[in-house]
Amino acid sequence: MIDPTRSTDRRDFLKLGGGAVVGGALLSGAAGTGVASAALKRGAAASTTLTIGVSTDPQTLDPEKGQATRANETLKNTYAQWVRYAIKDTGKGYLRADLTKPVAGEAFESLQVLDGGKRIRAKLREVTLPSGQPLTADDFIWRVQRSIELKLGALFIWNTMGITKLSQLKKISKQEVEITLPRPSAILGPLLRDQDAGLLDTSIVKKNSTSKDPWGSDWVSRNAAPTGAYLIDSYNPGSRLVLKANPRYWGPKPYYQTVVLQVIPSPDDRVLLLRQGDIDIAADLSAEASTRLKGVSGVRVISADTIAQDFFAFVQDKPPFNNVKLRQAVAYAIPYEQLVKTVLRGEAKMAKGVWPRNSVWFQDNPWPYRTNPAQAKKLLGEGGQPNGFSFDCEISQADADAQALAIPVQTALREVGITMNIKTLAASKFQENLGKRSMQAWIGSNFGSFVDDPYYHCFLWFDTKAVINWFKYSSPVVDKAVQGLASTTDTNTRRRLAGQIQRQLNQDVPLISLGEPNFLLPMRDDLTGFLYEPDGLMTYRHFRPKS
Amino acid sequence: MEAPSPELPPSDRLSAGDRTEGDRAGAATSVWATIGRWTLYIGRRLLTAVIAILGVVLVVFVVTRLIGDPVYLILGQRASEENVAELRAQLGYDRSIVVQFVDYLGNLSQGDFGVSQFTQRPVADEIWNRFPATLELSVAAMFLGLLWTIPLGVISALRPRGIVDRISQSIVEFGVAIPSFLLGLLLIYVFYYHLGVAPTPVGELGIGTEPPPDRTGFVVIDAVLAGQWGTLGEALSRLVLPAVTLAITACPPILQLTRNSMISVLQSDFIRSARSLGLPQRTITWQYALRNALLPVLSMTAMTFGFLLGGTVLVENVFAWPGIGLYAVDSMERSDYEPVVGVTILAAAVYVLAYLIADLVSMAVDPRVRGKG
Repeated sequence: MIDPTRSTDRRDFLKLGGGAVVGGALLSGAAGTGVASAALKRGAAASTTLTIGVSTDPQTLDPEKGQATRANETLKNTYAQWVRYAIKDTGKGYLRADLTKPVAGEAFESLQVLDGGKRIRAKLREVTLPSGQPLTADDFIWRVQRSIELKLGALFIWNTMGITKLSQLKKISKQEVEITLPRPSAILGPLLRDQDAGLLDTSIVKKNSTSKDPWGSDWVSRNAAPTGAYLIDSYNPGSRLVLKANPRYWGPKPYYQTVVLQVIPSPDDRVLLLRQGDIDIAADLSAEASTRLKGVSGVRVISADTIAQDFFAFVQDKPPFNNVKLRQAVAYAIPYEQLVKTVLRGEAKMAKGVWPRNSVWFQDNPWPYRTNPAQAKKLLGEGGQPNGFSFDCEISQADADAQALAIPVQTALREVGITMNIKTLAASKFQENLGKRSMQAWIGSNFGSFVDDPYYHCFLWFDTKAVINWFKYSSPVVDKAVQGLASTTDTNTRRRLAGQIQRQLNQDVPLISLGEPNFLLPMRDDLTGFLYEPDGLMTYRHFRPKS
Repeated sequence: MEAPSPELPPSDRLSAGDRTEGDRAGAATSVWATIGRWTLYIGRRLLTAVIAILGVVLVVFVVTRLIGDPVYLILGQRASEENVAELRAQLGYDRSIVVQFVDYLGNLSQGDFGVSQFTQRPVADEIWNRFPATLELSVAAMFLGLLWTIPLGVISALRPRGIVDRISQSIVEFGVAIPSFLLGLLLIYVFYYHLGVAPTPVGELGIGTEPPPDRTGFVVIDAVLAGQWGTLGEALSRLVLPAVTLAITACPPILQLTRNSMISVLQSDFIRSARSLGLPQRTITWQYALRNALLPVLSMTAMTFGFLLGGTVLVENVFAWPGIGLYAVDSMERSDYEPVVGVTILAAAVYVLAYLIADLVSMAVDPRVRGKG
């Protein structure tokens, strides 16, 4: 949101008065946007362009392949979801997903639960897609088929719902489809709203498919086949992605007709540009950089509770962390309060267990691990390592918060005789090592689940066969409880099982939560409409000027 | 006193009409011999260059595959081991590295640099789209760099350890010592944030500015071709800070070499002779001494230019400059093999080419080098 008129006034002023600065005239001579003061620019609330400073551009425009935050957020805003979370106003200047209410329809007009949850009948809206084709049941069936055939990231979503074969989907009428599930699913709604499962414009994809690429995967990755509130207007990789409001979008019309995702790799630059009012939102900042902007005139830092955690995790199929006493010893050595107050700048909660405190399923089970070096040393002795031990802890180069957390953890462990060697790896290597479970231990920030549900959380992280059980954690108690969670939708039973799991996890310490960081988003103070959802991705269509 | 005319060789004393058939045949033979010598030299150098580039490709190809497996990032956190294995097979990463390398060379020989596994864009297209931004910045930086280093080097050499020399030495030390990204950030802080006279550091054009129609890929040239003078002004103004950053941090060796070379030349016999003949100091310095002193500087300039083309990564990062440096870093982060190898081949080729051109120019202007060549 830039006011070019005011910007010109300022330039003219500088041309007259700023000549004392060597090179100033040349620099300001043709500067299109950069010379207006923050105060002047912030008068430009009438602009219908929202500019977001981002660290990188999306690596793909195909929901099938969305993984990194920037790609996921773009997908979320350009592809319609089948359903959406209900929304509530927090009263703190931002909106929040209301997880206590059922999901609301988006591409689906309604969802009917039959047979105790084993059959779901979905009615699709009678709307027109950007290609001009009407949305029908065939679009949904084709969308699922595409995932099944491509076998990429999005397949996980359908499989987790219980959809593994196309024969589970039956077209009832032009606008209705019936889904047969092997068992009732308590998380069908939250999964149907995942950006990876978003609705593609079938006819556009088919038109751009080839015999070599029958699902148009390569073409969609580069060009997109969007159906959501925004369409792709222009894309210069490495520079900017411009989104335009979709005139055929059937939901509430976005205020900002244009959203510019401006690639500004340097976090310091994003901070300066927001301070100057040249961008409206500074995304992808570390906790340290975000909190630096608190109290800056004209800037507001949204701080929302999350179910994310900063993990200090142990891989338990190899020494030293196959020994529970040593994991517990480490847990007693961590300076929790210091980490939250200094590294996380107070923008986090101190953990009360392995389960995130902000989860609606959290139960206050015993978590004895407070900072207690004497107890840590005692447990080292009980674990057969009275003189301490040494291990490697891996961190991703791309994770600034993890790097900041690792240093005080290393220092604290040294005080009880444990040597932690920090190994910083390229993001891909870090991810590879996680996948192979080849590490001894690792630290990663902002980990958690996109869906706040005990089955989803454990199915993802803590079940012996869990897909991202990067700890090699295995507990018969947890596995049995997860099976129970999978087969029931009764809230009381689920709450009981969730409690059992939490107690077991606290005892076994497969990981230590170094803190539960808030979601921080620095933005102009005259901007409103930020919606926090558990996936931590912005929804651009809700943003509008305060006035 | 007028200097006597030197004795000219017999061939020069004859007018064209006076030349015999034998003279003309001799001259033609000499021209062909020169062309042959040069062709042989260039051919030899190009062959060496191809071998050097192949060596670089081999090293980078192996190293990128050691850094990490991109399949885990492509599929994301929720992928199963089966998905990983399937995609590895699909992408051919399950084959031996030797087979992969031979396959890559085969494609490369047909001009196929492969496809980014993340964006699905052909690497050659990406490089083609981004290289002009890097080249534009490098040329601007080189121009600014030569503008300050050579005159200052010459002036410093006139009075070694004088005030100008001491100042220039301090600048050299500053330029060499300060990391380019830090200087870039400082310049942004002072000129953009504090004084408000520099444009937003968001690349070649401002956030709301439409780029000119793409004809060459160079924003400055495209703006001129389209007659979009406002866009041209904006593009030039956005070049200033990153180019100054690079000119300060990458070019000091040119200043140092110019100074040292000039000091050496100014002490040589022919300069003493020129002084004794009473030629003006300005003529001696700028016409005779500088011309001779510039020969080693030429090689250094070529080396610096090669460095600029391959080494603007940090400055591109700070100024959000959408060049190949940023592309390489993003790709490296993701272990996206093909772009990393592609950019490295380009950087190596540019280096080799810059050296070759510098050597050819040296040969053309310096008979001593020609003799050795």
